[in-house]
Amino acid sequence: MELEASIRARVREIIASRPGKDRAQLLEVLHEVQGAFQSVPRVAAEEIEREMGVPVTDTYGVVTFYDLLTDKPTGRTVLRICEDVTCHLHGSSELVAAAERSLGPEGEPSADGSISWTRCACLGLCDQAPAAHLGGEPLAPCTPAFVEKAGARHV
Amino acid sequence: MSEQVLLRRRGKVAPHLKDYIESGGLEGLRRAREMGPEAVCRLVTESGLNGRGGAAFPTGRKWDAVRSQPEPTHYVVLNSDESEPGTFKDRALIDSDPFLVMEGLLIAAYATQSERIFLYVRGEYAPQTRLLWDCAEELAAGGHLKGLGPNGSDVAVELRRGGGAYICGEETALFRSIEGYRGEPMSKPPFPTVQGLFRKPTVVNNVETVANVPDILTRGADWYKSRGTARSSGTKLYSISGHVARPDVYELPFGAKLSDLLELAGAGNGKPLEAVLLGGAAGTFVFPRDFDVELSYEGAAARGATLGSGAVIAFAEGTNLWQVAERLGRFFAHESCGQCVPCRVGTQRQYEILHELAGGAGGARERALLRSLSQVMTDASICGLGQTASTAVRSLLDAEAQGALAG
Ligand SMILES: Cc1cc2nc3c(=O)[nH]c(=O)nc-3n(C[C@H](O)[C@H](O)[C@H](O)COP(=O)(O)O)c2cc1C
Ligand code: SF4
Ligand code: FES
Repeated sequence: MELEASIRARVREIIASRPGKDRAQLLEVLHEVQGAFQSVPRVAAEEIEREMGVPVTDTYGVVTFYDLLTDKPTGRTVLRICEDVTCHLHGSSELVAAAERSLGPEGEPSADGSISWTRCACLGLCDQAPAAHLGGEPLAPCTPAFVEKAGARHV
Repeated sequence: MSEQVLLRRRGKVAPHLKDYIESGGLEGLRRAREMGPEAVCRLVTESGLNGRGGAAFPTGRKWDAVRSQPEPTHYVVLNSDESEPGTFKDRALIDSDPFLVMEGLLIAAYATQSERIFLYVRGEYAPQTRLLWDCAEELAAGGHLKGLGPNGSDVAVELRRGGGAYICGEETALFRSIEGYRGEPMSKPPFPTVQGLFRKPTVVNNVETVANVPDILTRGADWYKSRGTARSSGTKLYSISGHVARPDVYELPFGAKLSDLLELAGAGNGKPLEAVLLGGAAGTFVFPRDFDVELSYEGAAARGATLGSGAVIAFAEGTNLWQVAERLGRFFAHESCGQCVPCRVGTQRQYEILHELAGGAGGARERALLRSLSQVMTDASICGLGQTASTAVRSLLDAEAQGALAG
């Protein structure tokens, strides 16, 4: 399979760019893989096993532990909406409602695969509540209008 | 009255090494090199600097413990995981003065004779990660990492981005995370100063802790101790948010009152406050009758509260605090690593009961259940998450029992 081969090649590239192939490189490798494919696909875990000696089951043990890593595909851009204490006081429920309306169910990529959204815990942006992250970058304060615009652009 | 020591370059210095040096930067590191590792540890101990990550452990003693280990390989880890709800002071500190943080770390590496510094930055802090990394590279290019390590070797800096798990701020979980495993805490002892990262003696410090160090080197322990109280030296950063007019990070000497901080931030925005949550999710609710509490480790403890990481969330009158507690409960249920049963099941049950109370249901039976869950989690959990997951809830139950809760 061509796609599979290209994923494997990219994973080998990512691993080669690290200072070593020891297990202590795993978290950074997984961040890069997630960034490239919006998830950590099975073939990537297999390639990690071959190159770094980390068993596939261990890689998935790590992936499922961390919120920023997933084994299920996300959109190419992920919108994370903070629902923690301060953001809740400042209307995060309206952001969530806007996301449900315009981006569909939580965690599911839009039809064109460009975006997905999820709720999250405090982003450390409480001084700018309600806070969100778009593609890993802060977006605060966020508004329902922005969420809807993101939806209109991507679905 | 708001004292700018740690934040003095905020908004003033673009993060370039040249500007940093021109404004007095790297002078602390130069002094450290003159003094030698042992004397640096002694000076930091004399200053009374305590860790700002929550546990308030004396920094100099921790450094000296690592320095004097017979095992020759030592590490320094910067704990920039900052995921305690309501806390954003490390973010603001890195934004305002990333070189100050890096200088403190270089001094830590020298004082502990460590060969490597790991920057562990929460994965959600992309801009801060870039800032710190750029600073590290500029410092390396300028030759400032040379000769700081054991026997005059150079110090290396490595970066790890966290994966979005609050528990990885706990130091042993953080080691596991760097090592490429699930971030599950280990029981102590052995302590990190003896067997830490890769089982080598390791210093873990909070961002704010190390940012205090350069000034201690240049101005001395007496200058440092002249701020604060007898048992809490220096200044402290507070992240304040919620129902306030000016949510922000404020720097105050230890010993200021909570009411001073609330006034600076414009608390209530014209309306009286119902309560504040002091110390983040693992902290306690503090009610107006206690707003005169002194912000110091001993002052907070005297009222059964804790400063934690310095997070303050303000709630205007009429806020349903059980709904706030429900959110805290959900946070802990989600963030528990699941390794020990009392915490895994306890945080889940706690969340379910808080959900009922937040909806106006539940009575004496539910409240009694919350208290016994709290007892079990506090006594039988192996790490700080499980041990403090019910602290805020308990403070709310106590206030309610004493009739301090409106509505
Ligand atoms: C659940 C949990 C989360 C923690 N999160 C952090 C954190 O995000 N940042 C931090 O500096 N310390 C955190 N700590 C405290 C660390 O374990 C450790 O005490 C601290 O980093 C030591 O640095 P200090 O002595 O400079 O405070 C956490 C502790 C626990 C139990
Ligand atoms: S107390 Fe909770 S978070 Fe800590 S080790 Fe046990 S299960 Fe994990
Ligand atoms: S509560 Fe939303 S960023 Fe902190």
